[in-house]
Amino acid sequence: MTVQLSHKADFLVAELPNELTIFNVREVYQALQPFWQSDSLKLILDVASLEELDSAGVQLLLWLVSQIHAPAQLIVSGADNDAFARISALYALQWPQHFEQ
Amino acid sequence: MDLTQARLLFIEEANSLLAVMESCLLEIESGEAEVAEHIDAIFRAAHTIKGSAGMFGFDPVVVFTHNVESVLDKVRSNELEMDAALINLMLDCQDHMAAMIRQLEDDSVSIDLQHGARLIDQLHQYIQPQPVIETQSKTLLHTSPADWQIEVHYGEDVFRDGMDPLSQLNFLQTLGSIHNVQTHWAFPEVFDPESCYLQLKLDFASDAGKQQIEDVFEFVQDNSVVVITTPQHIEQSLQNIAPSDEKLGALLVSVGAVTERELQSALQTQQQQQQQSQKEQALGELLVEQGAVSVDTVAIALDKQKSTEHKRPPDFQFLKVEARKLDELINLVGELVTAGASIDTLLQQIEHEALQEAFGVLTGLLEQIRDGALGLRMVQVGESFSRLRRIVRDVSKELGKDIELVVSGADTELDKTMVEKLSDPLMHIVRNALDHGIENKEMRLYKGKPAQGQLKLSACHESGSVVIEISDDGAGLNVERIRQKAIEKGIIPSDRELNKEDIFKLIFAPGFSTAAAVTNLSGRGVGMDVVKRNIEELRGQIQIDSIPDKGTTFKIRLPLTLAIIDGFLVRIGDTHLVLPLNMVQECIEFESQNENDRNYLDLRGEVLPFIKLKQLFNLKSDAQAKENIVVVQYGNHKAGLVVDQLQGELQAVIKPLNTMFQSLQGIGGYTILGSGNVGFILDIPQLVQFASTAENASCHPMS
Repeated sequence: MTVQLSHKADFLVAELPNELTIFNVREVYQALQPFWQSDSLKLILDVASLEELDSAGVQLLLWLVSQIHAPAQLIVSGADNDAFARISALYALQWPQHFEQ
Repeated sequence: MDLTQARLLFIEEANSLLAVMESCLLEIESGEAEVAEHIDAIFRAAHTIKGSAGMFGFDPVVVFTHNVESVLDKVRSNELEMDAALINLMLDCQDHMAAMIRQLEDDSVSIDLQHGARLIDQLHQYIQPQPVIETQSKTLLHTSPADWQIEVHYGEDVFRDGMDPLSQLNFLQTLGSIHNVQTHWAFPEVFDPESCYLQLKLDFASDAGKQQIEDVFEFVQDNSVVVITTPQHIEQSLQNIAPSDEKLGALLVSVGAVTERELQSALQTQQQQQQQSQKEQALGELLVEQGAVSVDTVAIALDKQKSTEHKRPPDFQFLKVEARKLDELINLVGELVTAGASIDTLLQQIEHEALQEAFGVLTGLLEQIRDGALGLRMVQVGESFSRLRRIVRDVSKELGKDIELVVSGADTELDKTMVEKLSDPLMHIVRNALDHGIENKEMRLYKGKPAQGQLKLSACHESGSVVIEISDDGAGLNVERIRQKAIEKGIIPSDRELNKEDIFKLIFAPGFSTAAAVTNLSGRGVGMDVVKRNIEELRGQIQIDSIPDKGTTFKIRLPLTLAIIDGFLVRIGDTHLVLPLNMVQECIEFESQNENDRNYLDLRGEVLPFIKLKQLFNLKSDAQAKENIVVVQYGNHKAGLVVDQLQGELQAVIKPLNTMFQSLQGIGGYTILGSGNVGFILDIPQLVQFASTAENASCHPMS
């Protein structure tokens, strides 16, 4: 399974697969291109399914966040996922979780 | 020990302490060392001289040195700042003390008492109470953190190499606890998801050692930058250790402040700076720059070393041995080598394997004793260099020139006799470079050069010789002016065509001088001929290379020792010849097709001039004998020596030729072989030069 992109209301949602590691990071990066190049102003990155994540995966997410500039906004959904939460804590990373009004 | 002997010992000790004082002051003045690093040694030198002089009742020395010591004590307790003026005064005082010691040796030396009184007046101005000066250095110091600090800049290939920073963080957690993690990234314009752009910075509370922590990052070390800063507890453990004899690097490694890799990396940088002739940074400074250790930690480690120096009685640092006893020992070792060679010859005649094996062990030990005995005479060439440092300082001041002295390889070792005999030639060359070589500031700026001139002194080992180079970045030698002067002085006929190298050599002719003005430093035309003669007396050679407006380099090549060499024995007819082994490159068979008018052959595409020693020395041999070529190298020059028989290696005790034969060219001395025969030691530099010159002359018959 790769990235699933869908429009929900005025959000563009990207559901990440259960693995985001050096082994599929290029594939996911390519699949995410329409996501970060879109004109949508509200982007949701859904990490709820992630089971395997490594530093290459974390880096891709960081890069993605760095590519979204105002007025567009991106939030990470499903950040309470165990694997994601543990690794985020280890790296002391704070992900945007709410859209700003 | 009678009083005369004790007095001589005092003079010797005082002179060596004055030399320490001088070199420390000069290092502080040039910024190579901090005051804190050397003040104890300077104070100790003055204190010891005063104490010993008091024992002998040399009251003027005691009174004068007491004043010097009082000022130094104030510097030691931070009541006084060792500024340029005070360094100057201390150097003047050191000169005056040296003159007083010289007078003890030689009554005819007179002392300028008024100058001494003036110096004491100046010292008194410092001794008067002055406000305490706050040292600025503290503000420069940065202390160690409470916990380990780890900073990693990952290399781009980390992910591709199968490494994951996450696993390193996980592993660190098994050794201690991680705090204050900061993740940074530096994404390029074109992002490659498989490249790593991450940087990590974290605090790590752990009892693990630095090496253990560094090992966590072992597999990313090659293409990442890992900086691990030591915490305060390492500083404390350094403070708690007993004073140590170890070098700074080893000391820091032993307490876990620095890892072996960090030390090697700093040493490598230092070596590169040396090779690129840059100003060499101190090891501690480089380790601080690397982020491996804090300035405070380095200061504590240096202090530990200093306190050792302070506590170790001087008697245990060096053992004074009469030179005569040492020479006797070396002579005996020489005889032992000769006797060993003759036993070896006998053993070859009787085939007794067990005896030969046992003798092999003895020979090995004999070689070690030989090297050890010769090593006793070896001293660092830096001893000569440190005297030059003072000359450069004083002469450049006198001439009003700003000249930086860059020294490298001062720890290169050379026979003590040579170091002593080298002092004067080096001084002449340095004075000439300062006076005539390096231009004054205005001229340098006009030529687009930096206002500050540079004089480089370097020493290194090169294929069994010691090479000392003195180079300046001055005006260079004026080929046409040298030639004209040589013609004027009748050294060469006016129609003689000479190449650049030969013209440079003219400056070594007696009575030659091109200096427009005779100063009290140089320009009298005496010196350079003496320089060459002194160096040749040491079986050395001097070469000059000079580029107009770029500078001049004097290259002095000297043998390591004057006593015993590893040799290669060859034979022509009944005559035995010995070549220094370190100059022998290879041996090849001499074939008749190599015979030609020009005496050169093609050695794997390289032109190799050769000399037929049989003809050169007019030796008799069997005309049918098969001949061999021994390829020898000296410096950048190679030549072939045609001989009859190759007989193998030997240890040769060099005996000088009788004065009657000393003008013989190509023979440097003789040795007694194991068979009792005499072997002539070939002077390879002369022969190589002869071969190259002969080939040049045949190529350019006009020159």
